[in-house]
Amino acid sequence: MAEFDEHVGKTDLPESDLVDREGQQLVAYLDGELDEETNRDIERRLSDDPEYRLRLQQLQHAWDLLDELPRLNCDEGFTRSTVEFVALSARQELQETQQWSRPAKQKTLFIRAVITVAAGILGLFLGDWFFGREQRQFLEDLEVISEFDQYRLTEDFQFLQDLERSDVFHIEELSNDE
Amino acid sequence: MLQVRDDNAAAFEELVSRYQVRLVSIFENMVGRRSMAEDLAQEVFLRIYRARKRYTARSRFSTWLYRIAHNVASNARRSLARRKEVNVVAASDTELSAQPLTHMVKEASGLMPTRQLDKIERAQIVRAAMETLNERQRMALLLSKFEGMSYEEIANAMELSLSAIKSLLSRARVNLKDILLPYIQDGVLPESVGKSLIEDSDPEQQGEEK
Repeated sequence: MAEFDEHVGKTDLPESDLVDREGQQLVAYLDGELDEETNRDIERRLSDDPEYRLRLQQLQHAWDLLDELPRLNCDEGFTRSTVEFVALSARQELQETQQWSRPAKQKTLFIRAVITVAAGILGLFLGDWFFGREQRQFLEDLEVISEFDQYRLTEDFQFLQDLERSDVFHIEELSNDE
Repeated sequence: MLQVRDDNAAAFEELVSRYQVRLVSIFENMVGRRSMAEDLAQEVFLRIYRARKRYTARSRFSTWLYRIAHNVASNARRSLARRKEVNVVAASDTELSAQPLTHMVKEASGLMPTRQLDKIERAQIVRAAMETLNERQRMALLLSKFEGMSYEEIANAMELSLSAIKSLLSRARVNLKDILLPYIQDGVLPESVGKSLIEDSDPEQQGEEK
């Protein structure tokens, strides 16, 4: 059995189906789908081969018989009903799409709101960390800054620390009762 | 079609008016019923409307239109075959189906005098011959004959290769010739074929579900 893959045009015809190639060529000739050289070859053969000529005539005759098929008429009513059908279908599809998209839109809005709030909170913390660095450093140095005038009077911090460790300027702590 | 793409309603109505007859004719030759053919044509216009925003003018509109029509026809015939409707011949896509008409027709219950073919009978015979072709052969033939499309345009519409279309058309026309040859040569309708075709001539009877 001959197999023909119509999707890729590959053919594996046995010897007995070679006549199909001839039919294919005759049909293409009738449809004007062949190049000039092939047309001339066919016409040469047509003039010499009565059977070949008969086959062409029969193919043409069968083709002409298709004109016997009734040609239909469609009136304005069909046009109108088609346009109405399309408009109605389009409207229904739009309504279905809107019904489906309403919960989806609400969900999207909610997610966006959560992201915005989270971004704002994160921004606050980051901003505070980044821009508050100087203030924090200032607070840490405040103890030194408040005694800065006294620190300016000495050039030797080691002497001050030794003085503090000594008991020269002992101050008795007063008890709460006194 | 570019105006339809831009939501021009009048342009869409003009499009429908221009192509509806051709579409309904093709579909009636594909499925055998006028009412179903009209429904399928409306389905094609609906699909065109839905896809209007994606339309570009790279190829002819008719090629795009008949590609959609081919898909709709294929779906319809698959649906008909599933419902096992009578008088619908679902031939294999890879087989040649060239059975003589006399094998296709129900047996006549009575005798009919031999008489010359008239126009109605010729139409019925040609339609019966068309029904021996498979779906793709039939579609390719209709596009070539009634739409005047080239092989390349038919290939684009049916999404097949050029060589596949050449093969389809040649087999369709050779099959048609082989089936119609007795009637081409003699021009006479045999009795059994005549009565059966007249019984099948009512379009509403064709394809009715059991």
